[in-house]
Amino acid sequence: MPRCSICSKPAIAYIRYQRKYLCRDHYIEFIEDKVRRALRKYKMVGKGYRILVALSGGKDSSTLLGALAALRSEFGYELVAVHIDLGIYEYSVKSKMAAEELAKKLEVPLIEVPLSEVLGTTIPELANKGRRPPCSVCGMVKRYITNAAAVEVEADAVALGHNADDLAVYNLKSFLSQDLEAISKLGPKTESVEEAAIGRIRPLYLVYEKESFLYAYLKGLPFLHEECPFVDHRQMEVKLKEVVNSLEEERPGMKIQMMSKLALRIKDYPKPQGKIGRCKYCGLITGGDVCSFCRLTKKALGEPMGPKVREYIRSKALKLGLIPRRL
Amino acid sequence: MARGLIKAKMLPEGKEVEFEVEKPVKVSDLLKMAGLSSETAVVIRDGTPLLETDVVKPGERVEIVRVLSGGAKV
Repeated sequence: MPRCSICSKPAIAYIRYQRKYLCRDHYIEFIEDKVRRALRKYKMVGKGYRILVALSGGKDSSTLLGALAALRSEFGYELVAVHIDLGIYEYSVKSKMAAEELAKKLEVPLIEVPLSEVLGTTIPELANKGRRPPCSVCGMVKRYITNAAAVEVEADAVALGHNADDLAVYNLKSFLSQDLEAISKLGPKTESVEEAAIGRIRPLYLVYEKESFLYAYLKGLPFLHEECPFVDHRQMEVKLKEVVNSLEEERPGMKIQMMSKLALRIKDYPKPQGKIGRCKYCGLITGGDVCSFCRLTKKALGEPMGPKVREYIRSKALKLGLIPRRL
Repeated sequence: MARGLIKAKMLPEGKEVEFEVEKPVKVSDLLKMAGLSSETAVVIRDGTPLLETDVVKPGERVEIVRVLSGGAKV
């Protein structure tokens, strides 16, 4: 029976690109060390930072919050989590339960934003009324609300659970369509725009999807392991993930190399053109006069809902004692 | 050892599947039989993740987990 390369206990994982076996405890340490190195190398956090963690309830956000919580005292940052109840039937009910359980277990304050309460609607309805595909509406709504929450709680960074597999796939997809501006957004972190957008960090930049699953599983962190009912298996991302992983099987470490090199070259990619402005309704970042969220909600619900979302989050943050922020 | 069945619960779908095998099989082969890659799937026995080189015997029960993301993220 293979033994852990560090302590000789029975191994539960083999890290092919490092040719080492690990037991449960050293596996957990291995992943936390990857996150630690990414936080340091890419200067993602500082002492006294308030990090807002976007919690979907899935394995990656669970691993993200778990690893960040484990490194909390070492780096001296504070964690706040936000969960958006998207109203996608049973899937959202279960996601919410997992997010609540996780935040409680790790003692992280959780801001919950149920769309049915804040907007009086859900993602499927909003997509229908706005005549847009649900996945595109969902992505935009999540980005908007997460950023709005970060602005309201005066966070220094938003942490996202994108793993190396996700990013490798988006990198390839953008490359295939020569959307180089999209690649410029796939680095380990993005910068803030004062009072309008909070910079995003990706602490799982070098963590593989399977590693993320095993970490959450072995650590006993609550997470929902289900697919959203709207996932379309014909999507290019699904095919590209297979391609990336068959390459990884032949060339162990390929995904890490791709991400490390992308981080080095990210500045060479062209940034999206156009001015950065503020939405005339909600005041948050936009490329025009009105942000995508206010535009969609105005079209679908008859009213730009950005200000209401911000007000809702503010009142939740007040109740949780998160604002005014004491530095 | 005589031929027999390996019973597997396929997750996240929850479907029960049986694999008829002639002899004990390596986890990497079991994953191939299930049409999955070891880069994106994990075999778990009694709550413990197995290595690709570990062996599953006829008569044993395992969980085969397809590792996935819930939905679009970027």
